[in-house]
Amino acid sequence: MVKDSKIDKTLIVVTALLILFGLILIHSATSLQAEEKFGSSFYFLEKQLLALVIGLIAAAVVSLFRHPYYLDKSFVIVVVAVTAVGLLMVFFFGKLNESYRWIRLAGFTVQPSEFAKIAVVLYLAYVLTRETNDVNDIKKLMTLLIPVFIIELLILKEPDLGSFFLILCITLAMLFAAGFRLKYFAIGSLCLLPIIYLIIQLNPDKMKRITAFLNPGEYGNTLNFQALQSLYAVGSGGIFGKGLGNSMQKLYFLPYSYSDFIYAVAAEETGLLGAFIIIGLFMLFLIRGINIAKYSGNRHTYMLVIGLTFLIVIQAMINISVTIGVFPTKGIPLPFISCGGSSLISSLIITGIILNVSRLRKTVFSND
Amino acid sequence: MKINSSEHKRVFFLFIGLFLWILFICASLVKIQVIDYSKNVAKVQAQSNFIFPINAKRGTIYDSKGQVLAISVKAKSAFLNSKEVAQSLSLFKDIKQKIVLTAEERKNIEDRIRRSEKFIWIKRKLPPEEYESLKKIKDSNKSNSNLDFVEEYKRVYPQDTIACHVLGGVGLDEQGLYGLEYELDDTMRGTPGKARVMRDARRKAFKLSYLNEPLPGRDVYLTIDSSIQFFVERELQKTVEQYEARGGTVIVMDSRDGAILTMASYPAFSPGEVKNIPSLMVKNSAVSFIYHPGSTFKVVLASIALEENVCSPQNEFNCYNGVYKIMDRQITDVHPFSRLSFENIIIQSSNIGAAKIAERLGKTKYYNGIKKFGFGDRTGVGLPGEERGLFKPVKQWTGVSLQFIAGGYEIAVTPLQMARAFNVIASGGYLTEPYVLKEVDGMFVKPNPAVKILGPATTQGMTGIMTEVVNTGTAKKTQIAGIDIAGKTGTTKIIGKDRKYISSFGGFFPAENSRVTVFVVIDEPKGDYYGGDVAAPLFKAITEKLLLYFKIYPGLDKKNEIKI
Repeated sequence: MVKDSKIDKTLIVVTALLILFGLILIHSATSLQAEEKFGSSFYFLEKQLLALVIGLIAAAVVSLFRHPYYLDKSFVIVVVAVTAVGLLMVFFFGKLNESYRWIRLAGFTVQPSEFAKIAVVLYLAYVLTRETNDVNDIKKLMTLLIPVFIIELLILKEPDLGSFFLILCITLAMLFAAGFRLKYFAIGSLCLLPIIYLIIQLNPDKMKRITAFLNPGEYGNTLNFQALQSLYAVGSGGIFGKGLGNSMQKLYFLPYSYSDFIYAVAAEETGLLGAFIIIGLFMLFLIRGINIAKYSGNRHTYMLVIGLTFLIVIQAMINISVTIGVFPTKGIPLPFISCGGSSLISSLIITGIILNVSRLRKTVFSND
Repeated sequence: MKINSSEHKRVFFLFIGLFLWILFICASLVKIQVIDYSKNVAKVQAQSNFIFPINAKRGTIYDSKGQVLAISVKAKSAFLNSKEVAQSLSLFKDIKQKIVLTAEERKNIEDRIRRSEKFIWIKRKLPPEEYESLKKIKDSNKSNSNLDFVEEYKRVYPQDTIACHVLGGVGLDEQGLYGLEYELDDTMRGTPGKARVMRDARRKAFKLSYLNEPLPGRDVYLTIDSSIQFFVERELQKTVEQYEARGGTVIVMDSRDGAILTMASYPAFSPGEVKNIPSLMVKNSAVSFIYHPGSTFKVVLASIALEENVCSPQNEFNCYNGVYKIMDRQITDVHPFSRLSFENIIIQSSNIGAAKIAERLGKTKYYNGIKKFGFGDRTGVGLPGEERGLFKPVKQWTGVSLQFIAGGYEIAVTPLQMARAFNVIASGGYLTEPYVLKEVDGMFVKPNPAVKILGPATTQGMTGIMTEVVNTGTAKKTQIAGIDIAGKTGTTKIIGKDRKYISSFGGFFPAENSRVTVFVVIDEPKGDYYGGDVAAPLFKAITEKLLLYFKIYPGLDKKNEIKI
C-alpha cells in the first residue's frame, strides 16, 4: 500500500510563525487597554489563545481526515447552505459598530463572513471543475454562480465591504485560473462599474471613506484619522523599529491597532525588518500553496488549493495596503495575526484543508 | 481530469500579478519607513509629546535681620479641559458654588465654554480650602470634560503691608510689576525648566521627564529692618490720620553708610493685592514725590557757605524786619528780625537771612555746591520710578532765583535726595549712595563709595547749628532729654494751591557721631502745618523708639562704657 505523502512542514512552520508574531503583537497592542478596561493586561491575549486552541483543533480535524470531504457535492452544498443561514442570522442580532456582522452563541461571537469566503472557494472549486467543462459558457456559469451572488448580496447588506471585496477578488481570480476569457472580464467589469457606483451611492458612509482617501488632509481629523495615524505608525518605525511593546501609536492614536491595523503596530515596533519578514512569510505561504496545488493530482484539488492560498495572501495584501494608505480603509483583518477569533479560526481551517490535500495527494488523488 | 498547462499558465499570471503588488507594497514601505522616516517621527512626537515650561521658584526677599518680606509658595491652579459644552457648563455649575469668583469672572468662563474653547482657567492659585473642595468635584466627575490642576507658585508677603512701597508686587505669572519685585526681576525670577509629557490620544499623560530642571531665582537681603519699618509705618499712619494729610513719607537711613533702614509711605497697600490697586497708590513717594524742600534746604545753603568760607557762623546779616524786596518780588519772614547772625538765620529759619547768605555766596558757587549734594540727579538707590527733581542750570536762573532757591523754592527734590543731603552732615561730610539691596544669595552688594564733599569744620559747624535748631529754634518739639539731636524743619507753601502746605523735618542723632538719619515729609496736613508742629513730633516719636531699638540710652554717661 502506498503511504500518505508527508504533510507540508514548511507551511506549518510559516503558519506557526505568523501566529506567534500575531500573539506577541496582540499582547503589545492590547495590554494597556485591557488593563484599563478589564483589569487584566492579558484579556485580549487570553481570548485570542482560546480561539487559537479551537482553531488548532479545527485545523487538526480538517487536515487529518483521510476522506477528501471537501470534494463531495453534498458537503459543499451543506457548507454553502449553512453559510447562507449564518449570514441571514446576523440580522437577528444587534448592530455593532454600525453593522450586522456577528452572531452571539453561548458567550462567543462568530463572524459568519469570515467563513463565507471558505464556502465560496469550496463551491467555486467544485462547480468550475465538476459542473461544467466550459467556464466560458456564460449562461451556465451565471446559473452556477447564483449562490455566490446570494452570499455577496448578504455580505453587502451587513454591510461588510471588506469581505465583499475580498470574495469578489477571489471569485475573479478563480474564474481567471479556470480559463475564463479576458474578453468576458473586460465586458463584465464594464457592466460592473455602474453597479459599484450604485453601491457606493447607496452607502454614503463608504462614499465618505473613499472621498477621504482621495483627499487626505481634508478629513485629516475625522474620517481619515485612522489612515493617517496608521501611516505615522508605520513611518515612525524606521528600519529597525522602536522595539516590541514600544509603539506610541497604539495608545489610542491608532484605532483598532490590535485588529485591522495590527500591521502598523508591527511596522512601528519591529521596523522595516519586521514588516518585510511578515510579507516574506505570506510569500512563502503563497509559494508553498501553489506548489501543493501543482502536485495535488487533479483539477478540483488544484483549483481548491489555489483558491484557498490566494484567499489568504490576497486578504493579507489588502490589509497591508490599507495600513500603508494605498487602499481606502476597509475593515479586513490580517490573517493569522490580527486579534479576532473568527478570523484566526477560519485562517487555520484554510491551512488545515491545504495540509490535508498535501497529505492525501499520492494516496487519494493520484488515482483520480 | 488532469491539470492542464493552460491552468498552470493562468495561475502563473495570477502569481506574477500578486508578486508585483507585493513589490509595490515593499517599495511603499521603504518610502514610508526610510525616506519619510523623520517626517513621520516628528508627526508622532508632535501629537504625543507635550513640552511645557516649569516655573522656577522666585527668589525670597529678606530684611536685614533675615525676616521674610516676600516668598513664593506652591499653589494649585484649576483649569477646565472642556470637551463638550453642555457637560462643561454643568460641571462649572458645581465648581462655582465652591470657590469665590466675581460675577464678571463667572460670565467670562461661561462664555469661553460656549465658544468651545478647550483650555480654560477656572482660578489661578487657589487657597488650600478651595483646592480641596474642587479636588472632590474632580474625583467624582464622570463626564468627558474634566477639571484639572497645575502647580504654580504664588507670591506671599507674610508681613502684609510692611515695606509695601519698597517691595512693590508681582503679576499673575509672578512677573515683577512694581518696586523691588520689578527692579530685581531678573535676579529673582530664575530660569524656568522644561518638561516633556508623553500622552496618549486621550491626552492622558503616562510619562513625565524633565528636559531642563528649573533654576530657582536668587534670594535677596535688604537693608530694610522690618521691625523699624513696622513702628515707623505705625507712627506715620497716626500722624497722617491725625492731620488728615494727603500722605506722608519717612526715610530712616544708617548715617554711616547710607543704608536705608526704613522707607515708609502712607497710604499703604498689601503687595499681594497689587494687581487690583491703582498704580498711583503703589508709587513709592520716597523716590518719586517731588516737592519744594522749603526751609530744610537752608541746611544745604549754610553748608555750602561755610565750606566755601564766605562767612563765619557769627557773621550778621540784615533781615529787613521781615520784608525784603528784590525786583518785583518780596521775601518775608514769619517772625521779623532786623539783624540775625548766620547761625541764627538757620535756627530761626529766616528766609530773608537765607537770601542774603545766598547773595554773598553768588550764583556759581551756590549752583556748584547744590550739584555736589547730588540734587538734580537720581540717588541710584536702585528703586524703580526714582525722580531727578527739578534743578535749573545757572543760565536759566532769573534775577530772584538765587534768593528763592536759598529758601527752598525754584528747586524740586525727592524726600530721598533730602535725606541724603542731611546725611552728608551726619556722616561727617560724605555724600553716600543710599541703598536698599544688601546681599544677593549671600554676596554683598557694594554701593558706590561715598564722596567727601564737606570738610570737618563745616560739618562740625553745621551739626552745632542744627542741634541748636532743636534745642532753641523751630524744632523744640523734637527734644529728648539727655541726647543731642540735630535737625531742621521745613514748611513749604504749595505753589498754585491756596493754604496748602508740605511739612517736613530732617534730623540725625546722636548729633556727634551720628547713628541714624531720619527724614519726614507730610503732604498737605490740615490745621497745623509748620514743620516744627507736624513733622517734628513724628520725628520725635520715631526717634524715641529708634533709641530703644539701637540701645542708645539718653543721659547715660558714656564715659564709663567698657571698651572691648
